[in-house]
Amino acid sequence: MSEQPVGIKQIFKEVAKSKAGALGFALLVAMLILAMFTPILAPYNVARAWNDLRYWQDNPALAAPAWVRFLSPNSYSGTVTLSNFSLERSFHGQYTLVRRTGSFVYMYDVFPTEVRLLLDVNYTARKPRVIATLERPDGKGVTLYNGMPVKGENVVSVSVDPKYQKLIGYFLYEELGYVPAAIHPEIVLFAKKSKYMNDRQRADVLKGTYILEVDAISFEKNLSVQPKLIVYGNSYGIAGTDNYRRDLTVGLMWGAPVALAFGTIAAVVTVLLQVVIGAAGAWIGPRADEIVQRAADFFLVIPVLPILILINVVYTINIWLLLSWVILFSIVGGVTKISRSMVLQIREEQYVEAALSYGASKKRILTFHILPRIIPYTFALIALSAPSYVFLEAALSFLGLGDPNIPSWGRLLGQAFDAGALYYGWWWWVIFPALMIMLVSLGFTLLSYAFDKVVNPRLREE
Amino acid sequence: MKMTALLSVSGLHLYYRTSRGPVRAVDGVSLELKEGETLAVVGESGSGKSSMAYAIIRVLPRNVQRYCGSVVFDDAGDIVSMDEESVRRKVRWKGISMVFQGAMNSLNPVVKVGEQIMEPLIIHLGYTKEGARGEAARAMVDVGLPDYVMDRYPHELSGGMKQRAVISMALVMKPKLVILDEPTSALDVMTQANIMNLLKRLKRQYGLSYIFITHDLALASELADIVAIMYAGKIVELGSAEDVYLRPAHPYTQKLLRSVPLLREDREPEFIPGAPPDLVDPPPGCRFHPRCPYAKEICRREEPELKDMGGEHMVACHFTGELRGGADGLG
Ligand SMILES: Nc1ncnc2c1ncn2[C@@H]1O[C@H](COP(=O)(O)OP(=O)(O)OP(=O)(O)O)[C@@H](O)[C@H]1O
Ligand SMILES: [Mg+2]
Repeated sequence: MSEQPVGIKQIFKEVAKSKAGALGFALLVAMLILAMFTPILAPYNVARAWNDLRYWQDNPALAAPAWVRFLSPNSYSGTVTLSNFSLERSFHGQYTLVRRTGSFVYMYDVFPTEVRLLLDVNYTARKPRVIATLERPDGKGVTLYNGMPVKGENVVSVSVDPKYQKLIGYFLYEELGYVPAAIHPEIVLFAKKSKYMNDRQRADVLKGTYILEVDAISFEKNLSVQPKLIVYGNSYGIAGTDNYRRDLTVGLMWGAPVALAFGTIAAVVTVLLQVVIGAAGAWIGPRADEIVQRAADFFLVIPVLPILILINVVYTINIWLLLSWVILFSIVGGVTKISRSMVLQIREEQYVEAALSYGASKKRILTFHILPRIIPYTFALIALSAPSYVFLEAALSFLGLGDPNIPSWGRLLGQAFDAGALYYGWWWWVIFPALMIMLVSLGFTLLSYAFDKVVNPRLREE
Repeated sequence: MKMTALLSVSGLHLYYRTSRGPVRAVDGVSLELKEGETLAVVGESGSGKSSMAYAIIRVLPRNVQRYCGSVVFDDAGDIVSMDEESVRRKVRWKGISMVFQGAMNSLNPVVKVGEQIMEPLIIHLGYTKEGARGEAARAMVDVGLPDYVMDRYPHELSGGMKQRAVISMALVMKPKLVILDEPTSALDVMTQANIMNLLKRLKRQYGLSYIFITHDLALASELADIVAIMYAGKIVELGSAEDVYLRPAHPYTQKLLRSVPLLREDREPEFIPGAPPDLVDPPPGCRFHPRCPYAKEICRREEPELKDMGGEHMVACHFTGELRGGADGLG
C-alpha cells in the first residue's frame, strides 16, 4: 500500500492522476478559461447593458440557438438586417427628394417573427415627409411607413404597432378584398399571394429579392435619412435570446466568472476560517472549545437563506456585499466540527507531546504541527462546499435577490421561470443556465471526491 | 569527594485520574544522577517508567491527579514547583531533552525532517531558518544521517534513520541530560546495535548524561553506570550497574535477571509467575508480594523502605540481607 502523500504539490499531483480528479480539474479549468475570456469576448459594458433593453433591439426575441438551423432547416430562420442603402438626391423646384434604396434576399422556409424599420432622420428646422415602400419579388409594392418623423432615430414597429399594421391592411384589402381582424405584417409581407396570406400555418413563403425604397421630401437641401430594416428570425447566436432580445450567450458567459468567483471565494474563505477557528478552539482549551462549538451549533441551525432575503429587502445588494454576508454567516459551522475532531485526535500524537517537551508554545504547535496536518483535508472540504455556494448564489439570483447589475445563471433561470419559458417551450433559456450550474458543481464535486481519496487513506483503492 | 548531583529526584509522585480511580504510575520515586553518568531504568511494561520520565521533564497529560515531590536539575532549581515559563526557558531542551518512546511517531508526517530538527533552535535561540539549517545539518552529521534527509518527509526514511533523526533533534540544543525512552524497541537487532553504538559515542563526545529507559536488562548493561529497577510505580532496587547485575538483592531483580536468555549459559530463561499489579488498586504492603516466592506475613502488611545496603546500593525488601546470593547474576 502506498503511503499517504504529504506536501501540497504531491497531493495535487495525485489528485490530477485520478480519473475523477482529472475530469474535475478539466471541467473547472474549462470554466476558468471561459471566465477569463468573457471580459474579452463580451466586455463588461456589454454585461452592464443587460438591463438596457435598447442595446439588444437588433436581436430577435425568444430566438432559439442558431445552430438548430442545421438540425431542422425547415423550421428555423435567421435575422436579416438591411443597412446598406444607395443614396440619390434630386431637386424639384423648392423640394429636395432623398431616395434610399436597398435590397435583400429572403430564402428561409419560415416567416420572420417580426419586422422593424429604423429611420435615422436629420434636418434643420422642418420635418420631412418620409415614405417607405417594400417591393416584393412578385413586383407588388407595400407601403410600410408614411409620415413625418422627428429628428433622430425613429423606430417603426411594422409588426406590432397598429398604426403601421393599418398600412399593411390597405395592401391586404387590395389583394383580398377585405381586411382581417388581426393583421400579421411579418407574414403578409413575405407570403405568396393567396387568401391565406395572413395565416402563418397555411401561407407560403415568397422567396426572392426584396427591395426597400425610402423617399424623403423636404424644403431643406441638407436633409438626410438613414434607414435600417430588421427582419427578425427565430434563431440567434449560440444560446438563443430571451423575451427582451438579450443574447443569452452573453449572460451565460458572465455567469461563469460570477459563479466561479462566488463559489470559490466563499468556499475558500469560509472553510479556512472554520478550520482555523475550530482547530484553535479545540487546541486552546475546553472553554474556548465549548464557546466555538456552541457558536457552530447556532450558526448551523439559523436559516441563512431567509435572513439573506431579509437583508436584501433592507439593503440593495451587489455581489460582493452578498459574498460578505454569506461569509459572515459561515464563520463557524460544520467544518468547525470536523477540524475540531481532527485536532482532538492530533493533539494526542507523540510529536505534539514532543513539541511541548522541547518548549514550543501552544500557538507555535498549532501553526507548525497541527494546521499542516489539517490542510490537506481542507482542499477536499473547499471543493466539497463550493457547489453549495454556487447553488446559493443561483438560488438568490433566481429569487431576484442577486446582484441586479450583472447577469448570472440563477438570474437567467429566474427570468425564464417568470416568463414561463418551460410552458412555452423556450428550452434554451432554461437548459443552458441549468447545465452550466450543473457542470461547475460536478467539477467541484469530482475534485472533492478525488481529494478525499488522496488525503483519506482509508478510501484509497488498492 | 562527592560530586554534586546533576539531577536529584525525591519523593516524586505522578497519579492519573481515571474513571476507576487514581492510577499511581509514579509513587514516591527518589534517585540521583551525576553529570556524565547514565542511569538505566528497567521494569516491565506498565511499571511507570515513561510516567517517571514525563514527571521529570514535566510533560503531563491532561488527566493528572497528583504531581508532587521534587526534581532538582543542575542550577535551574526544582522543576516540579517552577512556573511553566521557567521550565520552558531553563530546562526544556537546553537542560534536559527527551527521545520519546516509539520515535517513529515523534515526527510529524507532514513536516520535513530537517524542519523538525530545526524547530527547537528557532523556538529557543531565535534562529532564522537559514541559521537553524546549518546547525541542524551539523546535528544530523553527528548522528550519521546523510544530508539529503534534511528535505525528506518522515515516511521516506527507514526506522533506524527516523530514530537517528529523533536523537539528533534531542541533541541539537546540546543538553546536559537526555532521557531516552526505549529508543531501540521496534528496531531490528542490527539497527538496535548501531543505535546503541551511536549513543555510546555521543555520550563520550559530549559528556552527556542519559536516563535510559528499557525493559531489557541486557541492553541496559551496555550503557548503564547506575541501574534503577522499577516495579509498580516504585523503585525496588537502585545501585551501580555492578552491584545490581552481580549482586542483585531484590527478589524481583533476581527473577528479572534469570528471565534473560543467556548465550553462554545452558539454562532455561525463567518466567516470573503472575502479572504486574493494577496501579489503581495496588496490593498492600510490598507490591511484589503476590508474585514473590519468599513472601512472609510482614510483606503483606508493611511496605518496605528503600534501604542502603552499603556503597549506595539501595533495596526495598524486608529480607534484603538474607536473600542476597540467592541469585546468580549475569556474570
Ligand atoms: N494518561 C494516562 N491516564 C491514565 N493512565 C495512564 C496514563 N498514562 C499511563 N497510564 C497508566 O500508567 C501506568 C504506567 O504507564 P507507563 O506508560 O508509565 O508505563 P511504562 O513502564 O512506560 O510501560 P511501557 O514499557 O509499556 O512503556 C500504566 O498502567 C498505564 O496504563
Ligand atoms: Mg513507556
